[in-house]
Amino acid sequence: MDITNGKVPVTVLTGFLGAGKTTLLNRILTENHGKRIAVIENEFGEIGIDDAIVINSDEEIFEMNNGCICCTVRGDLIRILGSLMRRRDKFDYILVETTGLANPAPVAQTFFVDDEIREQLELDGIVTVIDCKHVAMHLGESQECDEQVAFADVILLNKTDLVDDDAVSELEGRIRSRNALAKIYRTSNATIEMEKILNVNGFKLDKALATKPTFLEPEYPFEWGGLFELNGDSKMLVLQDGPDPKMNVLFLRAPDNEAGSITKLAETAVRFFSNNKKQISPGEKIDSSDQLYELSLPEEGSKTFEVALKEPGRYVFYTQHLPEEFSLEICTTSGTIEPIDFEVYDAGHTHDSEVSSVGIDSDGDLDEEKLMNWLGTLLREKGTDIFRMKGILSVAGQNERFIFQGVHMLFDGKRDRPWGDEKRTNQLIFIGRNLNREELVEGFNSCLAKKPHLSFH
Amino acid sequence: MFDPFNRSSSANASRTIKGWVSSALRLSEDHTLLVTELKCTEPDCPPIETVVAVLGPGGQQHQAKVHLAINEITREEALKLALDLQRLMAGEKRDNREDCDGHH
Repeated sequence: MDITNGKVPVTVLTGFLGAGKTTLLNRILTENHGKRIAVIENEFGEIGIDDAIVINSDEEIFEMNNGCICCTVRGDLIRILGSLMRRRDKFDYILVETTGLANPAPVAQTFFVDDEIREQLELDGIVTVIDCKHVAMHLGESQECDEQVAFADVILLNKTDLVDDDAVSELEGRIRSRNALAKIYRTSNATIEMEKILNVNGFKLDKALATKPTFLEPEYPFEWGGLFELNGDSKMLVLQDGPDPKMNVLFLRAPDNEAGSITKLAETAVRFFSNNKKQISPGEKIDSSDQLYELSLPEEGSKTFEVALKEPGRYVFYTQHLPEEFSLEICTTSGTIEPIDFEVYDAGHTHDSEVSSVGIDSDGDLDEEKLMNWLGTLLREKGTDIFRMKGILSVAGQNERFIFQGVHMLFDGKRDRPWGDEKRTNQLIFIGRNLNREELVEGFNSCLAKKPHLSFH
Repeated sequence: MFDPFNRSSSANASRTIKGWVSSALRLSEDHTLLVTELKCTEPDCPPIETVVAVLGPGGQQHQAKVHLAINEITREEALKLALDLQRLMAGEKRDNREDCDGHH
């Protein structure tokens, strides 16, 4: 029997028509894994197994609260699961195949809204099959396609034999930027080991973030980094009028005589850009430290800030906007100092989609009350846009890890095992639409009970 | 206060409510009942409500709500919900009949 905690695991198969869902389904059913599988089919496929329990169903959306996606489930599934559970001795795994145009949220939520269903069934994972050759026309264009990718625990990039490797890699990058949590496998003819798609524990709290989310390059909160050789004379940062009345700036000491300092320090700079900002006005001082400065640039005309050096040497300025937008210069009394090297960064505008992942990775303990307030407000205000979230949190005064996972506003969290010798840390990931990275990081930051040390990806 | 850390299971209470509603409505096996507690997040709404829904074999969906948590629902409350559902189901039957009359 493949029943864990007395619950029957359920895998949901999604993917556009023609992606290879039925091929995968047939593969699962013919594979010698010893599971007796009941299949709930939404799409007319050709299931080639006679003794499998196969139930056809038509998608029935059931809204418990008019128009609220978070309170929407699948009526057909509830009925079928109810009747299936009356003969639960006949199977030990359930597969739900959705149509290519199905929104995964109501399917997933079906397994969380009714406590009797929760007691008997466990949503194990959402597996999304993608046709590498044709997905490009849907990704970023079709809401259903984006959501099927965003909700997935496992993504099969199928039909890789029909496209070249570079195209698959580019596609994988686009998919990863939408969903940093999912395991992505490249397949042709939906050939894959069963253990990669069944019993993946995608919604199991204890396994939340068991594997660290994979992020591509971090999204940089700055657009420019410039390396300067500065001697002991007094230095000034001078800006002219620009498109924004404020700008974030970080000033870091760089190792002398070492190539590539800007790139090497960029990851540190990303972390420091999440620190609390110190607002300063023209005439005030910028130190080389982990302090993030918000330059206040209200008045017209030239604005000058003092640059304080610890010692002569190499320093990097990371600026939120490009220097040319503000005619930014580092000056001494005798003239302008040119950077000896610089890098331009894409400041978080690299996604080709409004669907994305935001990860927060932070040391420090959280104030439980502030955390609850923040999460409560976040789910209330943004629950519709947050598709999935997972996290492991370090709460001040608690010896145990706090773990959570959620689908839209359906939130499940509990105290887990003690931290023991493990380093206390916070890891959260949100996948959703129109997520505001800065707002999420700032909100989280405000819950820290101690000085924050944050990085975000 | 919203407490995301405190979602308790109410499977037994949910089963009991389903039993009360099901026998009050004399539901057959092909009807499924759903009992769910919604923590309403709109400013003007009560903070908690329980939805009891009947899903019929032909895709019929009816729901009744009460501003109580699942664990607070008494037999009396459940019977009131059943009565609401009965009215909705009767209304649907009447509508269907009228539709049929209209067509023929």
